[in-house]
Amino acid sequence: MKEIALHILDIAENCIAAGADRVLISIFEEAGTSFRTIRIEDNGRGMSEEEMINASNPFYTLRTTRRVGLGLPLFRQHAEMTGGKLTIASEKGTGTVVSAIFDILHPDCQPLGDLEGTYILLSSSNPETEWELLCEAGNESFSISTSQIREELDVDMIRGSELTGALKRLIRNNLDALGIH
Amino acid sequence: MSKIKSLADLKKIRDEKVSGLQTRERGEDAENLVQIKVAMATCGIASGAKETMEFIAEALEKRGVDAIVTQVGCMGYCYAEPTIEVKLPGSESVVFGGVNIEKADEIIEKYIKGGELVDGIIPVNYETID
Repeated sequence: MKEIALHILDIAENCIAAGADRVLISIFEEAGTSFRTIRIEDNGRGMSEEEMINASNPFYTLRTTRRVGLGLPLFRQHAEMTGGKLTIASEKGTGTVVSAIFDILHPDCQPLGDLEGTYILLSSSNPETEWELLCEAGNESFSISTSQIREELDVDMIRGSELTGALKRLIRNNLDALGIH
Repeated sequence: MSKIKSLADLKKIRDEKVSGLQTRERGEDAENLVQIKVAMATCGIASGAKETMEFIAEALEKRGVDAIVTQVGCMGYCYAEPTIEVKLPGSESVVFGGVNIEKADEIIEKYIKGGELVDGIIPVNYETID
């Protein structure tokens, strides 16, 4: 995975598999530090403590097609390579939060990448789910959600290159304004 | 603390009257559309499935093919990622492997538009009935 945006896409797939209908993706950059926290929160079926411990094991997976699940272990590895960490909090029946901290000044830190592409792909492919994106850098922030998009633009589905292009530009402009890359 | 900017930005998009925002008519039957599923699990994403999916969605729109492009989880063909499943109206689904942007282009032109099968098909595994 060459960008953090791809990890986010990957982990967000787990949220869908867990039956979530609301996923919040947040990016926090604390003022005066070089730390970036990526947080993916869902309201899916959640995990028991044992499942949580197993989730980080690359040889544990709930899918039946293969016997490895590399998404979380790879994300953790990339975070730890920069001196950060990944934590999972979950409650059965409530949901899960995956939190990864990266030191963006570390030479091994991957770029955030195409976050807008990830967001649009997720929201257009999973219209039954509410997708929320929140980016905070210092005391400036930007947020967008699929219900907001649908209401403001009076659309049912997020598709068509004109709409997705405009939304991607919106997100990218805001990320640039916040200095998040 | 914060200025939530997206609402103002969204209003700008709306005011600029982006045409064709809603291209699908309600009640359109999915059975008559080309359905494409792109495997989007860890192996797929790491192999470029996101770029493939974005390319396919845009290319089909540009070339006037009415289709639903969506993502699915792991289909099990991790050695052949990116993989896509294509279902043309009236045909069985076909799974293609190694679908980079070049391959996707070929599949669109030859199979989706012309009905001609191309290399790289992953055969269906039949399951025994117990």
